[in-house]
Amino acid sequence: MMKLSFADLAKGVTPDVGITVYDEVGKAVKLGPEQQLGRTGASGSVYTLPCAPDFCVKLYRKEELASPKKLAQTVNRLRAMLKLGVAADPRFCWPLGLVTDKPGGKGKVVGFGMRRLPEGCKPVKLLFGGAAAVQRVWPGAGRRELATLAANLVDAVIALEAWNVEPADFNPENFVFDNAGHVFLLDLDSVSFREGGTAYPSKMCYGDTAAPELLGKPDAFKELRSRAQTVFSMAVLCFQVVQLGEHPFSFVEVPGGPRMSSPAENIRAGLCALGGGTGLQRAPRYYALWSWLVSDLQSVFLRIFRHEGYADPARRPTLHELSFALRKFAFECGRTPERNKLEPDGPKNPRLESGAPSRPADGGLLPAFATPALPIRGGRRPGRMDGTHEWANPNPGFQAYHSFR
Amino acid sequence: MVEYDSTLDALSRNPAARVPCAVVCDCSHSMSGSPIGQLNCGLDRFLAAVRADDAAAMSAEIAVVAFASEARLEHGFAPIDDYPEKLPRLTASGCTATGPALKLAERLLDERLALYRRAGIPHYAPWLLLLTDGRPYPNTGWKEVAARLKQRAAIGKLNFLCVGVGDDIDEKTLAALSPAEPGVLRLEGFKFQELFVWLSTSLHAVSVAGVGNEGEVRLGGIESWARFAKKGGR
Repeated sequence: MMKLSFADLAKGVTPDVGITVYDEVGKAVKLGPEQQLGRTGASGSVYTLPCAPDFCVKLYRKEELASPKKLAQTVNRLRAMLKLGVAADPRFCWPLGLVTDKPGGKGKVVGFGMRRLPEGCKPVKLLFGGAAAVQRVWPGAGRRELATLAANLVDAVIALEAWNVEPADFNPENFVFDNAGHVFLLDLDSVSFREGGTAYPSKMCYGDTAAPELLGKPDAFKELRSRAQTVFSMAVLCFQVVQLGEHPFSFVEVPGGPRMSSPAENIRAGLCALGGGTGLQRAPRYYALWSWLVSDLQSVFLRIFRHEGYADPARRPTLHELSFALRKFAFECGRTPERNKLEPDGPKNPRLESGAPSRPADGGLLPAFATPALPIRGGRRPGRMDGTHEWANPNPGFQAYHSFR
Repeated sequence: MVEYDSTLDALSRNPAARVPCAVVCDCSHSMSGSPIGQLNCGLDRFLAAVRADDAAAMSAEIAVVAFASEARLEHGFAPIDDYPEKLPRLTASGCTATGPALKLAERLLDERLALYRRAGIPHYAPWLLLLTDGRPYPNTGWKEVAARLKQRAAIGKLNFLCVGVGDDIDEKTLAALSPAEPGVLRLEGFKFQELFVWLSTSLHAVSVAGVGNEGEVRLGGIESWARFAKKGGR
């Protein structure tokens, strides 16, 4: 684990304020602290544009572009991203043009322009604080809405993959939504992609959701990310959305048992308490939430986190299967009020109450934990299981995306 | 089957990764008058800032330890929703039991981290903020506990900040108390409010990062409320 650094305290991280930047046609805009959106991040800050309220500008921190090599890499990557058509999809805050510190394209690249999020969007991470957090952040939402939101996130990543782009930064702060369930992806300048025969791998890794084959292996970041790695990360993210923040690799530490460490360490060690026969226990209230998931969704999670897909990326279910299972769960939540509750009255199978033993005497899995063989649905597009048009395809930009293609 | 009592169950209602933060306040006689008033205002502002921040409110858990002739727990670790609007006013009197206060904070942190693990909740490296004029009365074990805390800070298991308060700071003692990074900080005037705004902003920055990605967090500068002391600073 990298420790928090206090090295910047003396100078702070406030980027250039009052800086004038130029777009590619030489139009100038002065950016001051009053335009800054949110706080300065690891790589830079985002500013609104008073002259173009639907857009914003990300300016990199000086240190990010200090060396000529790093600057050239960043500019090459941004120029390659601009050649892809991803920006046509309004779900993606994708670079739309470079920003320089001098007019006429003569200056140094200091950032890029992109679409600004609509008002009222929130990161999905704010849903990770249990039922109370969900009720505060998204009043009226049940697990149906959460499952549909998760499926919409998966569908957005599927759309991104159509451009051969894989996200690399799976920080739930970068996956945002509005209360209608529309989703948007941020901080996409760290994606892994190929353009014109050149590979642009990413060094970014969000440990809490990273596939095990990435953790502790620096060489892995020299390669492009795989779809299987994306599936793992999206499954963690979606699990946390439908389980109100519970991490699939968290467990209750007991005397003599393994030590509960960070999620990344637990992923690397394969310490997943889902399903039977692990010897690990979870917080009791999350057994009940888990028990109300549809078996298809339980199966997808188990295949990714515990069974064949954990160690063998090639055997992980696809994003389409994950999306299908999430929509099926959303559909079932609409049919069964108890399933839709953020705090169910009890587990679906009462025998599983309060951290039930993971394996019955006969050695088999308990019924609700058992993993039925899920037919492989590779390549099949998910159907609209919830039967509601607005949830199945809620994003107004989706049509524009298809028109563009 | 594991004993999972009501304390653990209440904790697990919120499965978000936690960032515990112990604030250890010197309330000795040297803090009398305006300084203790400013400290109280600063703490109020801290609680309000964390409460108003959805991300920090979900993850931050705060404990307040005050010390004068002895250490006392003003409020144990709790999420911000369990805090009153304002803490009872701290008052200044007596001498400076820095050692017992740090030992109490260390014990509270250890107990809280163990509780998280028993509840199955991930956590970030905890924070410990010590506010003092750096004149502990001797033989209270402050050197030993400070050494332990500095060792934890050096390996990233603790974010330990030691801030000197007032004009009569014993920089030599503060340097002995402070971790190598960031070194000894001196509070400018009595800018407790600015300090606590910075702390709440920092807790936000940590809470939106991944538990394994704390190294990528960029904290804000301290120029609005502190400067580095000559010795041990930069």
